[in-house]
Amino acid sequence: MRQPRSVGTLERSVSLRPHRGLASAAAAALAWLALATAGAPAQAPHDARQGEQWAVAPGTVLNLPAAWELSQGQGVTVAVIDSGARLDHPDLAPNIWVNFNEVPGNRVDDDANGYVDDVHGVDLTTSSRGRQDLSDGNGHGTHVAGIIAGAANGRGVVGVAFRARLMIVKVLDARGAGTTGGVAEGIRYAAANGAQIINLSLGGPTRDPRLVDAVEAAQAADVLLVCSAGNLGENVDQKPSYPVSLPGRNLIGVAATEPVRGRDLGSFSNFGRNTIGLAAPGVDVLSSAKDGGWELKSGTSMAAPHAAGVAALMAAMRPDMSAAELRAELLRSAERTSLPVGGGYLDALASVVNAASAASYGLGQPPLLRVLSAQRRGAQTTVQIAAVGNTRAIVRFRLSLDGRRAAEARKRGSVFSVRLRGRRGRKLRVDALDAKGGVVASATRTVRAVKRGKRGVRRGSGVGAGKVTIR
Amino acid sequence: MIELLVAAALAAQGPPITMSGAVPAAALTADLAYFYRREHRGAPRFDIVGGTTTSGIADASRGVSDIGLVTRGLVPADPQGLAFTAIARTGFCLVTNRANPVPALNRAQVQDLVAARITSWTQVPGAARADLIAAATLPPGGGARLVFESAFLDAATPQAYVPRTFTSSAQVRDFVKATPNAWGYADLAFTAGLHTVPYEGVECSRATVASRAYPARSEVGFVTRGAPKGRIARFFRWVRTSRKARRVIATRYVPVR
Repeated sequence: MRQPRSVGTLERSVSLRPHRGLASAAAAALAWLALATAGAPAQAPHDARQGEQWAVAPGTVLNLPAAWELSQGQGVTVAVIDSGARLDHPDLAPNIWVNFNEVPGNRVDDDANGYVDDVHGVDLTTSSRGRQDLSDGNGHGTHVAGIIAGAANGRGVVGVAFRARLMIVKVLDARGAGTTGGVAEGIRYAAANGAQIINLSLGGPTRDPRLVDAVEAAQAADVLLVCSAGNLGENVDQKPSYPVSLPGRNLIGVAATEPVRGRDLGSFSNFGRNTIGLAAPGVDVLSSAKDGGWELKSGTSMAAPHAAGVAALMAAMRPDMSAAELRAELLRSAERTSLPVGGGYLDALASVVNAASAASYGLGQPPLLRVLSAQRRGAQTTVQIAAVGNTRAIVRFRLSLDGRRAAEARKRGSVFSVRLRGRRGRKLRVDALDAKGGVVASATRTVRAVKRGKRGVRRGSGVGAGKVTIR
Repeated sequence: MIELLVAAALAAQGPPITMSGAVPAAALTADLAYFYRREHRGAPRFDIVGGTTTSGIADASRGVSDIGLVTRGLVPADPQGLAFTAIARTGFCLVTNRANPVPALNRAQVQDLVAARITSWTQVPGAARADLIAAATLPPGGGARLVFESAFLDAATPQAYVPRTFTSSAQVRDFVKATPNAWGYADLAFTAGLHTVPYEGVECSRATVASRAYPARSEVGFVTRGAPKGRIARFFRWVRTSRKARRVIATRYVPVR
């Protein structure tokens, strides 16, 4: 047990349980934060096997129970790009993401995103269009998903962000093997369909340009990628592994720590002061199993989802933070260590508190509009738009096709999609309008035919979940 | 026509210049970027996020960011191939709550505070309090902590006190401001509302940092992979030479050429 670090300048609040070690000066902020998160249950989760989850116990480096006072990840979608998941697992079923624009089982791409029947995610282990078999023949993805967002339902375990949604993107087969092409397509799918955070507990030795492009696409869509460091006990500053070694303002790598005070790296864990930002629990982690029960696993694959979960807690607290800002705050909030990682130990409470109070430079900049994609299928055009900078003046968006007004959309999050039904055209223009109808920012893009999903998923080099110890 | 002009201006801007690193440097750079864009038509957009000096250096070395924002110069342990451009000099001040305006601390007293040989304000001459001492510090390995340890402590001094560790000078400031029995150290730009304690008879101020009389000094600056080029070099040149930029820097720190 350690004394938790001080994380801010807060005063004691009667509505909160005392946090040993919290700086008293941070109190007002904590009290304010507690009010700001109204609607969040003050009740701490007490799942049946929570006592066996060393990483979520009070007083650990991770400091999760205190962070849960402020955020539980509600409203945030985390994509698990892995071996699928057991969707009916009691700890996962309540939190599985649902694509309400897709009619299940009708073998039609109802939402015109290039994928048929992608109701809970997509299966990229096959190029077969009509089938989305998200079942987990390996168990790796089911375990990872439970760490991120296992439900607080009194049963089994509780996830780091137990009210977040899990988008299941299957890229690894029953042997835990896949391709860089599949992973790249998975990142693109998740970024285009609403994930704010992507967990990648996988890796391989090849720097595939498709992977690089997909990471950039995710950055454009403001999606944070959380990657496992790898399980070879190597310094990835010198011997890169991908995707964790790809440079990206939206990408962070995570090494694995052991349960003994959570302070040492597992002997298998890759490391690297420049490449790996965080160390998080990754040895003897209890989470959901593919047989419907629970099991212990060890690996950096288990460490990354802890960080992805904390990122979800932060994103729920501050939906306006960019992926680059989430990454920066995760690093800044980490407890410094002599371990060979750049930031330090993942600290959930410090991350959430710092996120809540962080100033955003981007929000002070002039508004900038970007059309990330504009795709047409039949008479339906789907547009993904990003509005960054200070967008306070924007109240609505006007979409025009070939100079003719096609639709208006109300202001939503920083990245959002608009569907235009019965409208055809080639030149798309989007104007962001203020309350008086003045144009605040504009962007244009040529509309292309929707690309068939699952392209190139069997190509590229091999990636895998790495050797994971199961007990 | 107007649309064409706007499009041309946007094209001239190119992709944003990306920066990440120490929060005090990021705050200063945000101000500088604002005035740079006001003075230079078609200037690039800046994309600035916080972090730490360590993360800023790592990001610059890996090409994650164009510029790493730091509150110390490079040291041999940092990655090779980096270039440091200093833009300002700062100090790390010893601070107490305003209700406890300790008149002075000397080297022996600071050593005793850190070694927990002094644990009560009754042991500090001139202190206005008689209760136990609370202490605040910044993370090990960070620029501020390194400067504190090298300027105020002997290598042999045992760090036996139990301070609260904060992630930024702003948090130290807020903690000490709200805790009458606290002391700590904070970046010069984050001491408003606190009592700054003279060290060995020297005030902590921009003047004493500029004259190098105050010992706990550090440089604020930019780290790039190799020598800065193109639009980054132009921005650096403006920061180091423009009167406007120097006035912006002087609101917080001591400008350096």
